[in-house]
Amino acid sequence: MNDIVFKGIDTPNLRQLAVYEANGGYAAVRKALKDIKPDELIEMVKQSGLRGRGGAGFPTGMKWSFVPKVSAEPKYVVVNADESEPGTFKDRELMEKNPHQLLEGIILAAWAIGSHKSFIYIRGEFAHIAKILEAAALEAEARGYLGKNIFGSGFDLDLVIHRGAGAYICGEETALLDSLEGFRGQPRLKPPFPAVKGLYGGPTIVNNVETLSFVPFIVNEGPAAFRKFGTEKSPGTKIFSVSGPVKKPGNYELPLGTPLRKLLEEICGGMLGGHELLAVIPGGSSVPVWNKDYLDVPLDFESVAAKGSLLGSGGVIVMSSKTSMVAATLNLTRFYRHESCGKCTPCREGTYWMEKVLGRIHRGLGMPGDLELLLDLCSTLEGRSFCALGDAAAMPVRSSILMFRDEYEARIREAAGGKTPETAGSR
Amino acid sequence: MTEPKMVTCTIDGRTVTAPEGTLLTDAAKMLGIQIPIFCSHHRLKPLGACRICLIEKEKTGKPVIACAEMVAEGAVFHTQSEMALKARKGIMEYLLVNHPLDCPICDEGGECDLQDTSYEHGIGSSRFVEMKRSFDIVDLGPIVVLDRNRCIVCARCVRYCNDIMGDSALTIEERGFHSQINTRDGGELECQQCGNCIEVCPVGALTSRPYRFKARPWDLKQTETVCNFCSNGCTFHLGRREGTLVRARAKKSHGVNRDFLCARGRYGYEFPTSPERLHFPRIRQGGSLQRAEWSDALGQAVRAIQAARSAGKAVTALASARLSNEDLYLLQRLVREVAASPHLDHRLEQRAPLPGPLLKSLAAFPALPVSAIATLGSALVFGEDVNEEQPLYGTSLLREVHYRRMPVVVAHSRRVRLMQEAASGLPYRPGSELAAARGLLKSLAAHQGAAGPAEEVRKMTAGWSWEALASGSGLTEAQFEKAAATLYSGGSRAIYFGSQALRAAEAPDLVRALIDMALVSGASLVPLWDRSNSQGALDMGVLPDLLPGYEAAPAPGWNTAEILRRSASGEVGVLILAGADPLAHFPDRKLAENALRKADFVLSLDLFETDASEMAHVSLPLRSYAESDGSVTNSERRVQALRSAANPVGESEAGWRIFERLATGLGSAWNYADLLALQEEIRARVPLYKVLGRRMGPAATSWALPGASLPGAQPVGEGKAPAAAAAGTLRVESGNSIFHHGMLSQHNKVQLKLLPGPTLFLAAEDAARLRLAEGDLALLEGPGGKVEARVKIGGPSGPGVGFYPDHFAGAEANRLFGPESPFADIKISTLSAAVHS
Amino acid sequence: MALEFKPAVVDECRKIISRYPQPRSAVLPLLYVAQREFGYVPKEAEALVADLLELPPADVAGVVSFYTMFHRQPVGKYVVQVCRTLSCAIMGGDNLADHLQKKLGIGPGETTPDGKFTLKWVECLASCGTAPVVQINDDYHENLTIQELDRLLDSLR
Ligand SMILES: Cc1cc2nc3c(=O)[nH]c(=O)nc-3n(C[C@H](O)[C@H](O)[C@H](O)COP(=O)(O)O)c2cc1C
Ligand code: SF4
Ligand code: FES
Repeated sequence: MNDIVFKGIDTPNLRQLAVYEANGGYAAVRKALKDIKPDELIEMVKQSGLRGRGGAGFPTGMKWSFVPKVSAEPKYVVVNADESEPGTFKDRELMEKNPHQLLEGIILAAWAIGSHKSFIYIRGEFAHIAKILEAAALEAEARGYLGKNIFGSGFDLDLVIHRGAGAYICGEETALLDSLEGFRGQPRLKPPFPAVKGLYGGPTIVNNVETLSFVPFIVNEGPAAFRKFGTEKSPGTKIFSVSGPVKKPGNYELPLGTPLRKLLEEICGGMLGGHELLAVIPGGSSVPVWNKDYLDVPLDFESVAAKGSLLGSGGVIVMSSKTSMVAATLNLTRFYRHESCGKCTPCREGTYWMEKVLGRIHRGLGMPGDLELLLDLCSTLEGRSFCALGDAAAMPVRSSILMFRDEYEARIREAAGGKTPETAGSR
Repeated sequence: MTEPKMVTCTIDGRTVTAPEGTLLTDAAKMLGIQIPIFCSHHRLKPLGACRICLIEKEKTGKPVIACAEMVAEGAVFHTQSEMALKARKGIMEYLLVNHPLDCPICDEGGECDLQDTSYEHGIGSSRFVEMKRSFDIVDLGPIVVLDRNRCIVCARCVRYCNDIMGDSALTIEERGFHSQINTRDGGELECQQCGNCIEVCPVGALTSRPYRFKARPWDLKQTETVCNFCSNGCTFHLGRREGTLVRARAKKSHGVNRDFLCARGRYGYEFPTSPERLHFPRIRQGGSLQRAEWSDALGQAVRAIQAARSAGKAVTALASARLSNEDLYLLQRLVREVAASPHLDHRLEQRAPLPGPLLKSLAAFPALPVSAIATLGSALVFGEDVNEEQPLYGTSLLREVHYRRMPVVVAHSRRVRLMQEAASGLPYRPGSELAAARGLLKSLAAHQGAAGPAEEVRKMTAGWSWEALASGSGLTEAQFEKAAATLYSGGSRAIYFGSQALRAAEAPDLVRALIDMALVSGASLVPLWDRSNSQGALDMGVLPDLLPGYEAAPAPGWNTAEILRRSASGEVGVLILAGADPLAHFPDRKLAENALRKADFVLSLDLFETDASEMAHVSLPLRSYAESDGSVTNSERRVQALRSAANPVGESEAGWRIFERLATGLGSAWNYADLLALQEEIRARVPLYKVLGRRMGPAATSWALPGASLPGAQPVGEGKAPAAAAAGTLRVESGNSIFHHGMLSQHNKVQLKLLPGPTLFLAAEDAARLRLAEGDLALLEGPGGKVEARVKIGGPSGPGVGFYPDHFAGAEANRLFGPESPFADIKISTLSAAVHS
Repeated sequence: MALEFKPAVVDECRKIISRYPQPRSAVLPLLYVAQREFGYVPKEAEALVADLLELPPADVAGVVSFYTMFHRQPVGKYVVQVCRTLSCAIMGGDNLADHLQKKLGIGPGETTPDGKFTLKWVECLASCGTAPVVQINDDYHENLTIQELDRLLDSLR
């Protein structure tokens, strides 16, 4: 556990450059700027098999290789530090405790694609973490590790830490770019993809904090060392953020392919007293929910997908028998309704409508046919919305009806007089 | 430019071949297949937000949006498959979640895309049973009403306002299902009031306040015709209800403008059915004009012409360039052939009208349609506030600047809208157009290769010193260099010039320099004339030195200034004013007054009482364009059909009929059975106009003068430097504002709401310097005299240069500016301060 | 009533703008500055920001209202933001929310009459492992119980 990005994460004062460096920090950048050509670096990342940790699992080396070598417009590295997927809180710990590791990853990415300007787009609520990053960047710059002529290599990289202001959709990479450009944070049409035409029209890579934090290790130890962990198609480790009524919730870095049972029962110490496992959302709120029959699924991109859900951001949300699934689904639907950017019809209107229907079921005012209506609304949303938020909104609804239909039907059957259940998870 | 690659794909089992990059919605249209769209719009970039255009693409597993999907070799699409229909039906149902289902009371009813599409997809009601969102209906100023309840957040209005008009007066506020259209603060729209947001709204969320509750679409009798204001020649449908015109509306598929209209086009429909129109012929009797019979009025005119001829005095004519080609053609025939006089003109505002050979050179440049702007590499706009004067060209250029950063150079004395966004600006000092043009010409020639016109021009310009050009124009060599580099940075280029260039005191030299620039840079050259049919007036030879079709007149006659001067000195027997009012438009108002007083006989044909008509001996009521059939020719030389959309007012007559009757009265055997007969004659006499006639639709082709040779570089000297404005004064210029055009629009109530009367626009810093505030009533004193005007900050003014639009009787620009130059240093004093609420 | 930035603040804004390839990008940072200066972002502040960035004011209005963190009305000294998304809700966030409404006597979006507290519901703060969480101004307070919350608020009284 905690083999790569979380290695030594609790070292006192790791935020300080000197401490980070004493623990082997900035060796990767020194080495790369001197001895590794950008193309070779991209090749290394490709070979490592590193996949994006932001949710989509796209191969990072491949993404970098899409950036044109020559470009009339400047190129950019943009770090997605929006961390707004419910159930996910790993990037926060990475930045809070080990900001230089991220900076190192950024410099390496910039070197690989030939960028001289980079941005960390951090969610607005993380004001305190933005300050930590600012301090780290200032220290690095003062030492010549960032800014002009890094390590005397002649390579320049300017870094701007940019705070969002409260909008989940700005985690979606193109909405993030619009937000960073000063527009309403709404997704852009793709193609063109950011790697070709991104920030200010220039080739841009957008990577998650965790993704970039892996890069120094890959440079230092080589792709093979990374591949020692995980599975063939999902190599390496990944941080899982566990929340809900387990004994030891928190972030854990585990090799991909670790079974869910091991994570919940061994590492998190099982359920809190008085709670019995009911359901798990394995990859942040935007993926289908499982009932307790899925504990033996290995947590890697392929295995989770094969079992009808997604690994997503690795935010594992645990629910116990004390939770009403109707209420939990309503809670998430309200979240998506609140966070829908409003650009496209199905998401804007669909989340609104679904919340209304779920709300009436929850309040004991459900009507026969409501479940069919909900499933129908999911079908007209899934694959029809502009961006993946629409799909994300449909998934909890469809999957929870699929897995916990009895509870829904019972509530509709009982429907008489609008009694709101005590169960948490609604408002 | 390289030919685009062609791609073949299949839609609904039929193959279609289209250039790479073609959107599926367009490819489908080529097969006659309509895919519904709401958020897409032909002028806007694809947005892909409303999702109503979902269709099936084989092998994708989920539907794709046709508005953003491009044709791909071998791809197979279905617009009517189960997947496609189900997807669109779902979207339709979602769209109706928050949309009222009360079409019968909606202003858009019957013309609503949402209504049509929901009908098509078989949806009349919704499974949504909860409360819908509800908003109050609000007025966003005099033009637009906003009903957010109907809005489907397609953002067309916001994007049109921002991307096309450059106004950004609208935004979407909030997010998710709270998303709603708003102005910056919920108050009135701060914009050009063009109303295009209303036009592009696919539902009834934005509607027209002037039109609100006036009529239902099916009560309207709608006629397609051409706007009579500027030379863009926008096609629109005039809607008439019970004898009154109640709206103008463009249609997506029609005309050079498609669905675009500017504020004056959209709201300028009232004057033809205004109660102030002249209804009857009048004859001067005992000092005043009295109602008369047509035969008597025409008889007097005929006798006056005969008298002039026998007395050896001149018969002269000044025409309005708003008249139709048919009117203008017959007027020139009347003057030239029947009255045997060469003295006629239509250019009243120009101080130095272009001589015939120069006009012929301009006509020899190939015509360039406004649609070509979409594919131009770069452009120069010289001496034209193109967004204010020629809005269709202005917005078309602005769009390309916004969407593909087209390199544009704007040369103007004021920091006009397009200059603010252009890659390069040449803000020359007022009156220094010529020095600016010559500086740019010198730079352009320096950039081009050895041979050809560039070499000649280099020789010619070698002696011009940068110091003199710079001090003459207020620009620097570096600015000229940058402008030249900008113009050369695109592939195909075009040079546009307009009213400021044409009204300049040195217009002919300036136009020569522009021709040289076009030759040196290989650019198209496009004059943007003042009036809706200025081009036609040139083509029809309403000029002292050119016959119809640019044939040199054997003995050149007098131009406007000469006619008026000769008249003032008693040499003119008859002065025909065919819709023209020299008192309002000729720069030297005193001379014009004298001329009218001293002419033996003044015959006025007009729509309204004007200062000139009231000085006439005989005044005849003319039909307006809205009651006329005929043709007009726009700046892209497209000959377009005018169709009568309203019943003639009183006893008013078409211009050409009046001229015909005058000719027959004078003994000619003219006899046109109808308009077609006249058009046939024009076709025969003016080969350029072979498109004229029966089949002439809104898309009639434009013409080019065949075989005319281009003039070589003209040897000219450097420009003069206008002195700086005197202390305590403001240098002010005049022209058309976006809200009005000429003097006709003062009869339109809606336009008067937008700009109610004489107004001085000036920049905030100048207002501060002169201690003026928005809304103040000010006395303006210039070389021509005094006028009173309201102060307005901003608008088409620029720092150091004010703007005084010329539209209002009693306060015409020529009462303020002297005859010498189109700008003047004006003394301004406050008469009464604005009343602030 | 013309609202203005102090000259030092204008300098600060210009410095921020200079960090970006295009001024428009500085709209969120400048709105934060405005919020810091005026306590919230009134309409006039939008205009100030629009002016500094040479943006149409309507664009700034669209941006301000898109994000949840700009207060468009005056707020209390402490903005108490209760996360109500799933993990927190499960772990007692809903109870905290109920308690706060009763204790402060106000609903979400409202401010106590003494101007001390404004109550807000917010979505997932990325603190799910330490749920429930309440953010007061910039600071996170995690693993909260009703008793701890009470103590916290009392210390701010
Ligand atoms: C609605 C939505 C929200 C997202 N939120 C985040 C986020 O908060 N953080 C993140 O890293 N990626 C998020 N993503 C994924 C990003 O779009 C993008 O895939 C990711 O930043 C790419 O980085 P990676 O390849 O390193 O994972 C989100 C995607 C969607 C559709
Ligand atoms: S699915 Fe549509 S409305 Fe929802 S967030 Fe994406 S673009 Fe916005
Ligand atoms: S027209 Fe295609 S999504 Fe709107």
